[in-house]
Amino acid sequence: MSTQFGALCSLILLEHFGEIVQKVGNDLYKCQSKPLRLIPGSTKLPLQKVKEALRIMIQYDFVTFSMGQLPDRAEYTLLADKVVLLLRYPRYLLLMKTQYGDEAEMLIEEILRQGKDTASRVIIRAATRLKESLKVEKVCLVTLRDKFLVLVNKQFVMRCPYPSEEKDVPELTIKEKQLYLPPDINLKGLSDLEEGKPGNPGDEGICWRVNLDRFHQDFRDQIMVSAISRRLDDNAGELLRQLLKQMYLRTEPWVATSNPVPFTELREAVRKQSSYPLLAQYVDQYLKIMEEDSSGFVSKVGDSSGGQYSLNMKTAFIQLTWATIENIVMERFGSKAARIFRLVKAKKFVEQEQIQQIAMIPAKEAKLLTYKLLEENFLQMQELRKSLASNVPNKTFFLFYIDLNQVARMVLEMCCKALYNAMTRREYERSENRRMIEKQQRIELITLNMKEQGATSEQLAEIEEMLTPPEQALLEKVRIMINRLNEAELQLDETMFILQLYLSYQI
Amino acid sequence: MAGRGRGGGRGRGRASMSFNVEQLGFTAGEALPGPVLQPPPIYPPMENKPVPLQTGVEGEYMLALKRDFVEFLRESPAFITPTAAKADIERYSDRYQVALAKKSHGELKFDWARFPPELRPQTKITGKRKQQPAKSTEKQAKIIRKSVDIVGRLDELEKKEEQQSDTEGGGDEAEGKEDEEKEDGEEGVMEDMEDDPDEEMDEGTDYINNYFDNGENYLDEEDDNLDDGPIY
Amino acid sequence: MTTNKPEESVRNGNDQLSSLESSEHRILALAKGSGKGISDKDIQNEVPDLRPDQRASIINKLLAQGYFDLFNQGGTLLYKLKDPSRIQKVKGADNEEKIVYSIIEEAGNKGIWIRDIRFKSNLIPTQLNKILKILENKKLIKAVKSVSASKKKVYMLYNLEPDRTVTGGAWYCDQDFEAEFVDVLNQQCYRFLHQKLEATRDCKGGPIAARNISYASSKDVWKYISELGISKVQLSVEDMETILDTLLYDGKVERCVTTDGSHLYRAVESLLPAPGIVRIPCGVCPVLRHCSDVGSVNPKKCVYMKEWLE
Repeated sequence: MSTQFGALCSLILLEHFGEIVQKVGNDLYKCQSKPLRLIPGSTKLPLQKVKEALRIMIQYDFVTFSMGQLPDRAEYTLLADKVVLLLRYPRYLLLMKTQYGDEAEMLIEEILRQGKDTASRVIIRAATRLKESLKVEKVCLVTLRDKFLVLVNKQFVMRCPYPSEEKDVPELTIKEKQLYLPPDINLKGLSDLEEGKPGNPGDEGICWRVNLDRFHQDFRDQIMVSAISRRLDDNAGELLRQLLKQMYLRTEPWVATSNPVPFTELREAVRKQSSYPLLAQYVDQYLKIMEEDSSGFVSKVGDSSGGQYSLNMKTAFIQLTWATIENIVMERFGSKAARIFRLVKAKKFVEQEQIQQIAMIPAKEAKLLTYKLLEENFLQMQELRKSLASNVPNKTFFLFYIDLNQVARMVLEMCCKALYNAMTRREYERSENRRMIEKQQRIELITLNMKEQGATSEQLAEIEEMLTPPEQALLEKVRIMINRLNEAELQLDETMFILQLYLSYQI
Repeated sequence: MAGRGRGGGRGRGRASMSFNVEQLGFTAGEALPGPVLQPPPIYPPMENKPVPLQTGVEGEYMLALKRDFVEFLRESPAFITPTAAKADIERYSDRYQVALAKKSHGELKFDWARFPPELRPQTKITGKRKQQPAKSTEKQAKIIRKSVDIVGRLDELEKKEEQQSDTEGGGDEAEGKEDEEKEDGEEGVMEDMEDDPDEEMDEGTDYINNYFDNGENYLDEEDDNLDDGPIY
Repeated sequence: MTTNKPEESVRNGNDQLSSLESSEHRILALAKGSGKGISDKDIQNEVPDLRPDQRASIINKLLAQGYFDLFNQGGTLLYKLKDPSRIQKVKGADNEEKIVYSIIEEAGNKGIWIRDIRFKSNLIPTQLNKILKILENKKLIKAVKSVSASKKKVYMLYNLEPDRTVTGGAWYCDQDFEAEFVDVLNQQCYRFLHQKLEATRDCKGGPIAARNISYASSKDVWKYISELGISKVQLSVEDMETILDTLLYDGKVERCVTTDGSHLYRAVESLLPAPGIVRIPCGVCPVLRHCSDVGSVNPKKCVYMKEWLE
């Protein structure tokens, strides 16, 4: 794990959970695992605080523990990858909202907020929030419970592993088939609890957490569909969607290449939907085009049942990574540099002379760009000595090539750094204007308070004027800056997702 | 026949350098770049500007989600603060403070069986909370307010002492739950405008604890307690 | 010279002469029989009773008379029998001139750089330069500036048309690479193909028909460009393909090969829009490598950030 990644992880912990958790997190990042007693020393924090921090981090699944050297002492390990996923939470929630509705979004949000919880508590809290936001007296608990069951069924939430019995340091395990076993919720108990009366919905001890990988699966599919739609058209996008659906019936979600899908079934599925008539008419043609396209998402792997087609997830993400990096080269170094980059990619190994010639860029410019790309590690160079007899000088060839893995890792580091910079700047802008921001917050509170106490509009106006126009303008400027940085962080995470997914298929 | 040819890019009257110019990509005879007369600027002019950020309703919605989530965590018990929450002296501005009730978003319910025993709340009287030496006058204020409850507290502590011998290390679930509730209950109070005798009980003050110190927390105090004194 | 009596020496001389002649014939015959050419050693083996100086004079004579071509293989000189039709050309020329001439001839219309001539001939620079001047004056060879390096000159036979790799072909005007011209052609070709692609958007005939419409052969493009009349030089279809290939590496077009070997091109969309990393200054920052929390390049004081945030 790199220093840059660690620094990013640290900032994220600070922002979400505070300084104490950050310090404990930093300490654990530096080593594979550590027992409790060593942490106060290296963090200079009191033991009690360290314990609190660990509890929180375990609750949110950022830290795991296992039996250490002594049977009753645990060793704690930080899962830095999971911490960084905090950046992606808004995306998870948006997916829920658009695909499954507001209730689903609320339920997932409630689990994310707590780290993990029982279904009934989640449902009750979601109900409370819905009542507030919709401004209604009652919310249908049955709907919420049913929605929860849908989420279980679709594997967006999963059971937390159970502690083993009679071990000093509990070992948490769960069987595969238990993961998505729906909870049995007693509605009467649930509604009693919701109304504040003592009640038992019957699912105490069954803890649920969000299955983030399931969301990643949907993101992956979305990216592929959107790429094909860009490349070909919306009909092709829909076809890929259908193909994915068929794929899930017969393939594990994270394999590199799916099991074959017969054309006949695919055509059936396409014909059933009505919003893409052109697609239904030309299914076979679209399939052929997709299969022949250089993106390589789909291949024909057999002829029975009208043709057997499979999805190449690994290939898809290789292509998407190339596209991403080519785009970066273009924006960072210019279109001529991007031409050189693609040229080296196509030729695999190429000399400087050839680059100039084929790319049709003036020699000096070509050399400069090639050198820049090399310096920033977008290109790699191989030296080849051509050995000749002694009366002719040794000719050394310099061949340029691209090691995609290496470049992808490098760009991932860039993303980490950019994220770190954005977060740092965001905090900096906030703290530079802290006095002003706090003043605004106080005024807002006062206004709220006074409204509740029934202040007149004159009094309210008076309070508002405590903020002068230039101050208001400045605050607005700061607000825009912070928003922009936040947006950038969300979009940076998108790039990270593609690269991480590509690298995970390479293992 | 003639002599051997010469190798490399050297010779022919060019000033020699320690590395082979050819390797840099300059063929023999090409002009090298001009001499550098001053240090390069720290922030050279940017040739390629960043592409504009993607905009849209979805992006804005996610922004709001992000803000809300961070705000929620900040105000939840998950956000651990290092210092005492509130000032001691009643301030003029307090009149306008809405009781923010930090931790108002509900208490974190830990399922202690899922945690290693060392992290579970201890059931020793004094071991449960880190005792801090009296630093702020807040504690004094509390002592004054709570002094009437000392009798009640004494009773409770007696009860605890009896139970304590059975439970070491927090293995008992019932005890654990009780502790947990107390812990959560206490965490629910930040701006202690209201008196809550039960919570104040266990938290105690230095004065009371020193009085009742039965020596068991000696081993617990491992570190400097000087820097932070969380009051629950 | 042997120390013989005068009579003997004449007779010996005659004998020597006739034996020299027969040696010459034998050497020629040997060379005829060998496709690769014969080395001094081969000759020695063939005519062992020849003294070294006699051997050398025969060889030189045969060279001078244009019977032999001289080759240098791995440090050894080889003498190859020349094609009789070519023997006429260099009569009366110096041996070394002949060597240099044949080296240059071998390089064809791509020409050969002076340094390479030197290595092949093993002549010292001063001598070589003199020979080259002589040959140039005799209008047997010429020097042509090569586009691949502006100071480099290549030598080739006088009557030859230099190859495109030397002159640069249509893309060079007096040794200057016409970058702008290439860019304009690049843009025009793309416009042509992009228009074709756009036209297929509303095609109702199905995707395969649409795709076929969007394809254009290099000849189609060539025709379009020629009709535009933007080029003052006559461009060939091959020239067009060179330009279309640059579009390929721009990621803007795709190429496929038809059954008869010709190339088809069509405009394509990239798989992804610009990634998030390049939407923030860091992604395009020239000093990213120097950026850290300590030091003058840091996120809090970053000038690019400041500009971007305003």
